[in-house]
Amino acid sequence: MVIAGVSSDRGKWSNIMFRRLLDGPFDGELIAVNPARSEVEGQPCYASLRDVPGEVDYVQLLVAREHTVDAVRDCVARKVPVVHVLSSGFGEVSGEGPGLQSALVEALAGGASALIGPNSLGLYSAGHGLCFSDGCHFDPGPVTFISQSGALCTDVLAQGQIRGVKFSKVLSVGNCADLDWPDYVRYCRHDPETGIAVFYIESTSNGRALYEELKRLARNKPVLVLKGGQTPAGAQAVVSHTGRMTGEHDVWQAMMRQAGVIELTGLNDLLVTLQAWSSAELQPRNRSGDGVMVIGCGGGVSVLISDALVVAGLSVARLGPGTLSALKQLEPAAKVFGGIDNPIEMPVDRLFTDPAKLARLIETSAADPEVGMVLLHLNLIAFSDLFGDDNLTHLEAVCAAIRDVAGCVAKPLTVVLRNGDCGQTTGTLYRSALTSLGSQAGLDVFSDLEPALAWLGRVRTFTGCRS
Amino acid sequence: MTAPLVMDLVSARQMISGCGVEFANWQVVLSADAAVSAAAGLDGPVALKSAAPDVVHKSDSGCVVLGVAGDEAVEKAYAEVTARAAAAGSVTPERVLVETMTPGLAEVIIGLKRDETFGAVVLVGLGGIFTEVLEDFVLRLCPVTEPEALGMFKELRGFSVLAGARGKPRCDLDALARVAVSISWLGNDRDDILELDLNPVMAMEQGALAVDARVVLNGREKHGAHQA
Repeated sequence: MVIAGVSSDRGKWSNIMFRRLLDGPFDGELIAVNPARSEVEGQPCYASLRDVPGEVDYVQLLVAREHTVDAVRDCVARKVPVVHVLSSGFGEVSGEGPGLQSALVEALAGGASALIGPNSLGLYSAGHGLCFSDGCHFDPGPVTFISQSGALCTDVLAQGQIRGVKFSKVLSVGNCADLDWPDYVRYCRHDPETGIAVFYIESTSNGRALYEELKRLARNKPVLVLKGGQTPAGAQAVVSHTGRMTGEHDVWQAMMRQAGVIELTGLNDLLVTLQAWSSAELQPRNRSGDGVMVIGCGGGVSVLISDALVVAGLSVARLGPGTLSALKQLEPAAKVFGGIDNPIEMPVDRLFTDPAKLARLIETSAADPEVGMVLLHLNLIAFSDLFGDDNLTHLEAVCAAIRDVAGCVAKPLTVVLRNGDCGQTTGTLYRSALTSLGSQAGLDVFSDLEPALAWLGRVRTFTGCRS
Repeated sequence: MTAPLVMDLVSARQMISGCGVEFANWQVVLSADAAVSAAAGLDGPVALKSAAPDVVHKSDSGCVVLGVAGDEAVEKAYAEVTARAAAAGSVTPERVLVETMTPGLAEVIIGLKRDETFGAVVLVGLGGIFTEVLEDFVLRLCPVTEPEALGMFKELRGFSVLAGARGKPRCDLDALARVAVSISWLGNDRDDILELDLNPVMAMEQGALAVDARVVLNGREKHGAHQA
């Protein structure tokens, strides 16, 4: 791998990128190119790509935009398969930018090189130990995220990893001057490491080919698409009703539906959906019902959850008589609180004082074949009032019990920790629980009911698709 | 130089009929007498619509009279339509379309538009208020298969209107789907069509009949073509 345009200035992005690769787990051969240096960060530096010995597989260009065209010509001459242009100042700006972008594409003519970008943030590849930012891990996973926004690459990787989502690749594609969406979608179909593909798309120069490729990919793998940006409507006749009623976004939505991909509504939906997919994947394939088991404290909250489940087209699981009697044995005093049923709704002192009993309640109800998913909700204010100074210790014991039970029930489990934003104590409790539970497979933590309900809906979509 | 232009009503109907879409019986006449004899040859009450190529928005300019029965009424309607077409600035106001009134179970719109990114797109919706006010329509990229077209109608929020709501008979959904398929292929094959409306298409217990068509072409500007 060659990085062209590596500065010796430690404050410059190109130098930071280079050092990150030197210090990180990247185990390939890394070569710097800069005409003004013979050495950068203790590594030999070549004046030009033409001087680099041996085969070059992949080049990242960080050179100033006026030097990119020559650098691309060098790559073509060296038959570099992939030229990744991180430099910016092309089609995304006015003035000379668009002309330079055309010159980049022209420089590829007749060669065997393909170009990613320009105006790209870079590439995260778990398998290669490559990343565009610090602080991420390289545990490989099935998620490939390809984005026309570099900023979203950072958000999705960081926010996803903290929630336990594991990525194969995260690629910022920039302006799509050469390789375009149909190519990236086709790549995901052929890439065995991609188990689920997520795209943030703003525009494409080849809509039909994109549609065809999305359709092909969606036959093999789940595909999530977040469409951003509205390009200005072109000169339209708009004499007809059809022309007047339908906008550009309607057509994108229709295309996504027709291609069989899942349309995302925003960044939160993207993350919730990825979490839901990872959790749904863990479920055994011969699962029966898709009802929701609701366990928690706070009667009104349980009622509202039950209502919201119905609105979302989900259902509260009807527990079988065997499950009900097993639950009664676990909690003989339950009839004091109106009897054991679904939702299991008990005061915080009964539900959370004995973590082992909480785990058995979850395990016993989740074993019912009608239960497909479990939602546990906890009011952190009541918890903090009850356990006082022992709050954190006790919460960790509860989290440990939940982690263990999540590992053995083999059904997606979500924990909603309410009121974590009401003061310092509940805030500390929330962050502690998130850290403790966040990376447990099959278990997803939310600070509010709304994303948890969205998560339940997506889990059911994925388990439904599969059966 | 290219400019969008509205296709002549007769040519539009002939082109769409050629794709297998059925229209209510119609005839173009140039005089009141011809209108009367055309109406006599059609079943039941008729509609008279200006067929002047230079009247683009014929409903808006009052150039449509519906539910006309009897020779005198046809004569009167002919006079009305031609007068309004003339008032709207037409140079050929005498050109009038006489068409059988078709009682449908429901009115449907089936249309096309050309999207800059994805090309031809087919639309189905319920006619009148459902489409315009409630924005109840479904789009697909062209072409679509018959099962896909059926799925489009079923996706409409007001689908129950077509499926036989409140004891009404069920519309011939297969016939509606076939119209959508034909239109979608037209959009796929003819990239000079910018927009097309079949509005309304009458959904019936058996079959479906188009009663109005508007086509906007991306054509060369030329003498006699009417710019949209």
